[in-house]
This record gives sequence, structure tokens and C-alpha cells, in this order.
Amino acid sequence: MNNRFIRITVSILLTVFTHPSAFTQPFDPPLSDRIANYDIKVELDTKGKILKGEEKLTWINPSEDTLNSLQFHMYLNAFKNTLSTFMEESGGRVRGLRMNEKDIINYGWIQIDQLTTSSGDNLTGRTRYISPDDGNLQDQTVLEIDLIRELLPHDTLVLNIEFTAKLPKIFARTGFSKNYYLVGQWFPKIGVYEIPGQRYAETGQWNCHQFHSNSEFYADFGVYNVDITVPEEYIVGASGWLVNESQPAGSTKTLSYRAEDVIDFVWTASPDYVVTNDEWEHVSITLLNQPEHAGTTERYITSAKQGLEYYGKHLGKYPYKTLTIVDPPLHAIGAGGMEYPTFITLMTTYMMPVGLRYPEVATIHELGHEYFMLLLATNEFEEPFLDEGFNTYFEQRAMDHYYGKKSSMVEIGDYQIGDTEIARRSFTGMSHPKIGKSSFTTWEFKHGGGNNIIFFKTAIWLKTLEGLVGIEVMDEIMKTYFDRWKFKHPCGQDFIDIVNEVVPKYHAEKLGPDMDWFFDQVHYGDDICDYKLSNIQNEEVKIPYGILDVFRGNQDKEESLTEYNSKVIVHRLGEIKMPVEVLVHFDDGTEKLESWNGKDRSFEYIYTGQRKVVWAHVDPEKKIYIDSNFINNSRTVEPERAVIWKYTFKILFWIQNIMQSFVLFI
Amino acid sequence: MKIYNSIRSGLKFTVQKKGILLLIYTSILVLGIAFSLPIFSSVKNTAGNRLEIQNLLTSFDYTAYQDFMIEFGHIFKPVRSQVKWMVLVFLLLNIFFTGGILQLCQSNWPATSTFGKFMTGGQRHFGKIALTVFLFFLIQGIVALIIWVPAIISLSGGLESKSSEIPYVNTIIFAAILHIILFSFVSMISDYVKVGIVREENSRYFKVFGQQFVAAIKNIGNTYGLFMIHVLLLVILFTFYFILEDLINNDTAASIFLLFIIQQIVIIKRIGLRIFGLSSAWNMNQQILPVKIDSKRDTTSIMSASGMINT
Repeated sequence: MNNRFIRITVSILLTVFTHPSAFTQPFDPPLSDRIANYDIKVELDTKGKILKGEEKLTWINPSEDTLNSLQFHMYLNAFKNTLSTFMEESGGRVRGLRMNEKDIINYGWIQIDQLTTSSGDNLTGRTRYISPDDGNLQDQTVLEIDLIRELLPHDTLVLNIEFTAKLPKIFARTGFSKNYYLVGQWFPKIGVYEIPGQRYAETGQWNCHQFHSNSEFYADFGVYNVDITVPEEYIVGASGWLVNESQPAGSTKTLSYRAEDVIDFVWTASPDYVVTNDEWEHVSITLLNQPEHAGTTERYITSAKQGLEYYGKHLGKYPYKTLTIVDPPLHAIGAGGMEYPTFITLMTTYMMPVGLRYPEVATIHELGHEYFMLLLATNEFEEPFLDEGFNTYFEQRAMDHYYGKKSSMVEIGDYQIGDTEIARRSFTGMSHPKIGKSSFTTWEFKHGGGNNIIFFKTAIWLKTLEGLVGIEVMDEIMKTYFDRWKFKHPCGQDFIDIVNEVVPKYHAEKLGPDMDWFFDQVHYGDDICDYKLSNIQNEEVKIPYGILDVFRGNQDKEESLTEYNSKVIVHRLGEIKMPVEVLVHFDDGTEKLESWNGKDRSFEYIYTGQRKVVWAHVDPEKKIYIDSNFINNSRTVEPERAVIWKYTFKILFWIQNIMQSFVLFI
Repeated sequence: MKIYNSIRSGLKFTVQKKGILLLIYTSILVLGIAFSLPIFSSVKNTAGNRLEIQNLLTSFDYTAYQDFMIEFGHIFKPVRSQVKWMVLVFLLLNIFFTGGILQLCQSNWPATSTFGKFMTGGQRHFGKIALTVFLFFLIQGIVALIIWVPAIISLSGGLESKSSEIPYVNTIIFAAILHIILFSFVSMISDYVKVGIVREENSRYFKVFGQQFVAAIKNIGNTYGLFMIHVLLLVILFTFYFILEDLINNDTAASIFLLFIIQQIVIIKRIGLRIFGLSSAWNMNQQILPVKIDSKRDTTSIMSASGMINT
């Protein structure tokens, strides 16, 4: 027997007996409406970094409209030159990584070589690039195709597309780096035709935006069958599950994948991957790791299972049977931290300390994107808060649940930081928190601040909503939202409608008939929230002497009963108005929890009696997490010195040590 | 045997010079209080009556700390500008103290009292020890450049130039270890040069410098070995401190005060270790360089001045 036959046999046997996803059954009935279905054959030329592809797109017109043209995303053209909208907006820099603009090999592009319909119409040449967002004629990320024959409502169109793509050097999610490939947004991808009433569409319309530096993606659900041909030494991972592996003539191999009810398809290839397989309930987990990151393998797998468990319990069951986790090498780090259907890319480094939970956060965050937005399929161009903000909120919940509220992100000795704490600080610590609103589209953040607002402000106002309504009601909101809108492209208003449906059932008296007042402030507004416990006064009531016409019962008693008029004053410093609680503590150990609607600029509570107010605290449980300053939320009558002495002594000690250290070494 | 003799001599000297230890400790305490007391006052007057601060009592609280810094971080600005003056004052004081300690090691130097001898020595040798400090600061800088510049050059080319980050990590670890070893070696040499300056105070500075350098290297087992024992004692001291710090909850007035006392004991021990370091180096220097350098001078007066014989 020759070696090739043995290799093929072993590959097939390994696939069958060690990769349970080979047995994955199709969804019956389908989970989604399967509007855009792709059958793609692609071959990777590792020398030229070229993809040669044949794509068959089966697309269903979802509307009542007769269509004469189609719009496609040609994402890779964002990297064609420095004049594209993506490159102009980003300046060639994404997530801290810069493209080397002088080296031509670093650029990428995609072109259609031939375009025909199944009925024989040749549409090659009936294409043009359009720029619906900014009119940039140099941008070629949206292609409009004129049909020869009209496409009637609900009709199916089959397009045969031969394309060529050059992968860019990885700096913005996709491309190559040395012999490593992360192939995302790599094929001509049809846009979404929204029907009236879908999201904000009033009439049928193409929703096919240009590729912006801050934006991600938006597509319809469908079935993908993809055959990937690569050199035989490459290890491949992809969305969906592996159906078959074969070795045609030559030194290449072809892997056939299928993914159902997904909005995208990504794949990766590298000869250096170390493969680890594991299972969680119905999900086969495949980790493609770098050899130098072997120390993180267990952390990735554990946190993936934690994410699947947490999201399954609090949102809904993960519907797919596979999850591929990819860890890129450092020189391709631009491909890390990204989500695709059933496929996530992470980031770590060699010798990542256990107390620095970056691998865990990355895993749970990217896994959360399977829900926000891959299953919900929200429009990441127009409403990025629906995936990044919502996902960040849930990531924090999961991390705090498994690793502790104060230690979920960092736990090194006594130094601890929680994931939610960092999110709040990322927003409240902004030098210009009013630079944008979480309702902004990705391209509206012209001068920065987008990530802080979209990711962290959204997460923090969701946490504030949780504080106002309680965790059980919040879970009901999120489960209802997910259950009702998965596979259906919800918009922000759809989420708000669900909040307005659920919350009044439980909190109408306290919060009103709807929560529009909440979203108007935190989501559609850019104001700041800051409540302050301004003052505590305890004024002794003077015992009257002299001839009194009114009998005072205690005048005859020997002991004097001192009475006080106590006042607690709270201020609203910010513009945002939230109902808050005020906890007042008296010197006899009793406490009183007051409720304030938080609307006035200033409010006071007055107490008369024999007890004095010792301290008071606005929002003692930090339910209004969007409050920009918790330090001013409380006040005591007598300053507490112990903690100040503790840190003063600590500073003194380390100053003395530093001085002594000079002596030792000079 | 030489190391043993030096350790014994150093310990005996340190125990005998408690007054000087107290003097040095007081100066460090005063400078430290000058820096930290304004912080205490500022924080007490601004955030002292905020409950959120209490979250920092039992452990580090990121939210409390961050919110505090946002609202009150400005109070640290004037303190930060004081730091450079404090460093300068302490540096000058320590140059003075080093001269004083080494003068005390000269057992037969004519003086009326230990304190008088200490003050005279500090003033007498201030210039040469200051020069030594400056020169060794430069030498340490050159050592750092010799180690880190090639390391950084070898890692240049950006992320894409390497297949993984392992070369970066390994290079940094190797360079750091090498730097620590060379840094400590140079520090050790500087102590012997200071000793030589005081022992041979009438000799030419750079001649003493060179002779001490050569002697220390020739007897590297003894000199560096003694220095590493000094460092080891320091490590043991801090290990004990961190163990105690962990055991004490430090969240009540009593425990906070207890830890303060322990911290100050650690500082006193550190100062003691420094005195021990210098005095044991003196003894080692006498063992490895028993003969005076400048042979033009009368041997008896030289040996008398160096404390080797009584006259």
C-alpha cells in the first residue's frame, strides 16, 4: 500500500471515530428561514495567498417586491488600497495593529470573474460598485448587480459565481500571516433585503452597508456547504461540522464542511495547530491551539463549557452541535478576539498568569457572540450596541458568577479586579463620556469613544436596568428577547418593546407603565448620572424653660431626654434621573430605607426623635450602576480614620523602603 | 573562614552601634512622615467621611479606589512634586551616613565619642563617597545599556519577525537575570571602593578605586559571597514580613497599629543590615587587603590609621 492511501484511510478513520461532529444530523425542521444558501468550492494558493472559488448562491426573495438588482458585500476590497472607506476611517490601524501600507503583499481584494444565473443569464459585466453610506467612489465593498430577468416575490434565484480573492496580511480579523490563515468575509456575500416592518424598514429595501472601520457584519441565515482545498500538511477548522475529507491527486487535501442556519462561514488553516477535542452536553468542542499556548488549553476548554452552561441557563440552549475555538499565533493576533457561527477566535500569550483571566474573558465573550449577534443576527453596522453591549453585559455576568464579582478579571495576591468593575470604569473614566450615544451607528463615532460607549456604556446601563427590575425580571426580559427573536434580525426597538412588555407586569407602580424614560436617558441620550449624599445635620432640639402654656410631659422627670432634628440631604448632580434608595443609619443601630424618585436636584429627609443620624447612603446596593461616582454616595457624621491610617502607614513603609533601596544599590 | 569572620565582626559592630542606627532610622522616619502625613490630612479632610472608603479596609477594592482617584486624585499632585526633593535629601544624607559608619569601623580614629566620630567621618569623606556614588550610578547605567540594548535589538522587527512570543519572553527573562547578577556585583564593588576610600583616605582616589576593584574581583568568592549573604538576609526579612502581613487581618485599629510597629521594626532591621553590610565589608577588606596601598608613607602610621594596630 502506498503512503497516500494509508494517509487517506487514517484520516477518514480518525474523522469518523474521533470527531463526533461527523455524525451531526441536519436540523429538522430548520431553525431559520434559510434565505441565503451557499455551496462553495475554494482552493487556497499558499504561495500567492490567493483563493480561487466557485460559489453557488441560492437566494430567496423574502419580500413582496419584484427585484431588478441585487447587492453584495465584497468585504475584502476594504483592504485593496488606502482609499477605501475602511482604510480612510481607520487610518490603517485596527485594535492597536497597524497595516504596513508600503508592502503590496499586505493588501487584499476580491473580484468576480464570472457571474451567471442557473437559467443561463450572463450577468458578468452587469455589476458596479456603489457607496450607499458615504459616496466614496474608491470604496468597492458593495457591489450592485443588475438582473436581466426580474426576480418575483418569494422566488428563488440561483447564481453561479466564480471569484478570485487575495487575502490581506492579518491586521483586521482576516487574511494570512506567514503560513497561518484565518479566512473570514472571503466570498461574495449577498446583503439583506429587509421587508416592511422588519427592523426599521418602512418599505422593502436593501440593507447593505459599506465596510467601515468600526463596523462588523449583517447577513441572512442559510445553509453553507463548503469544500476547502489546502496543502495536505495544513490542519483546518471551520464553521459547522466536517462532513468529509478526501485527498485528490497532488499534495493537497479537500475538506467538506456543512453549516446550517448560520449567517456566515469562516475557516482557518495552519500546519502548526495542536488539536484538542472535548464535549459538553450536545456540543463537540474543538480547540485549535498554538504549541506555545499549551498552558492555556485547559482554561479555554473550561471557560467554553462555563459559557455554554451560563448562556444556556439564562438565555437559551446553544442550538448547534459544534464549537470550534481557534487560538492564533502572536504574529497573527489581529485575527484573534472575533466571532463567527460556531467558531470563535481568542487571544493569549505564552506564560499567561492564572490570575490574569484574559483567556477566560475572551472565551466567554466570543462565545456570547454566538447569541449576540450570530443567533439573533442583529445589524452590527447600524446597531452595534445590540451585539457588543449586550454581549459585554452577559460576559460580565458569567465571569462574575464563576470567578467572583471582585476578582473575575484579575486575582493576583491581594490585588483583585472584577470584570464588571472594569466595564464601569471604562465608561465612567472616559475623559469625554458624552462623545456619543449607545444608539449611534458605527460610523457616527467619528472622533473615537465608540468602543467605550458601545461596549461598556451599554453593558452598564443593562446592569442598571437589572438593578432597577431585579435579576429574575431581567432574566425574563433576556430570555423572552432571545426566544422571540432568534434567527429573525431584531432591532433595538424590538428589545425595548419586550422590556416594556415585561417590566410593567412587576414594577408598574414603581417604574411606570413603560420604560421609555429609561432608554431615552441612557440609550438615546448622552447625559451623566451622579447622585450625592450631600449633608447630614443633627440639630439638638433645645429644651424650653420658663413659663410654658403647653405641658411638656418630661419636664418633671430628672433625666433629660435630648431630642434631635436630623436632616439628610441628597443631591442629583447629573442630568439622568433614576429612582434611588437612601439608607439612613441611626445611632441606636436602627436603619430606615427611603425611596426617592430621583427627579429633583435636591431632596431632604427629616427625622425628629431621640436618635441621631450617624451615616446615610444613596443607592447602598449600587443598583444604579451607571452612577459615575460611588464615593459621593455616602456620608458619615464622624470620619472613619482606620482605613486612612492603614494606607498612610503602608505608604510610609514603602517610602522608607524605597529610600533604603537607594542605599543598597548606589 | 573569611566570610565567617566578617559576619561575626559585622554583627558585633551593628549591635554596638545602636545609637547610630537610631539616628539613621529617625532621619528616614522624618522624611517618610514629611511625605505621607500630608496625604493623610488631605484624604481625611476630603474622603474621610465617605463609607465607600471603608471598602478598602479589608482588601483592595478597585471600584472604591478608581472612584476615589477620579474625585480626589488631584490631592496627590503637590505630593508628587515633593518626591524629587525628598529623594535628593535622602541621597545626600545617606552619603553622609555611609562616611560616618565607615569612619566608626576605623577602631582607632581619635575622637571623643561615637557620635562625634560618626559626624566627623560623614563630613570628612562626603566628597569622595559622593563621587563614588555618582561613578557607580554611571557604571550601573552602562551595565544596563550593555545588557538591554543587544536584547532589544535582537527582538526588533516587530511581532511578525518571530514565529511566536517565546523568543521575546526568553530574551527578557535571560536579560533580567543577567542584569540582576551584574547589578548586584557592581553594588558589591561600590561598597569595597567606599571602604577603601576611608581606609586609605590619604591615597589617590582612582588608585584606591582600581585597587579595591581588583581586590574584590580577585577574592570574588569571599566578597560576592558575603554580599549575597547580605541580600539573602534581606530576602528572609521581607519573607517574614509578608507572612506576618498575611496573618494579620489589618482591619481594626489595633491590628493596623500592630502592623505599623512591625513595619517600623522591618525598617530598623534594614538599616541594621546596611550597617552590617558596610562593617562586614570593612572586615573582609582588611582580610583581603591587609597591606596598605601607598608605600611612600610610614608603615606604622599607616597601619595605625587603618586601625590594624594600636599605637
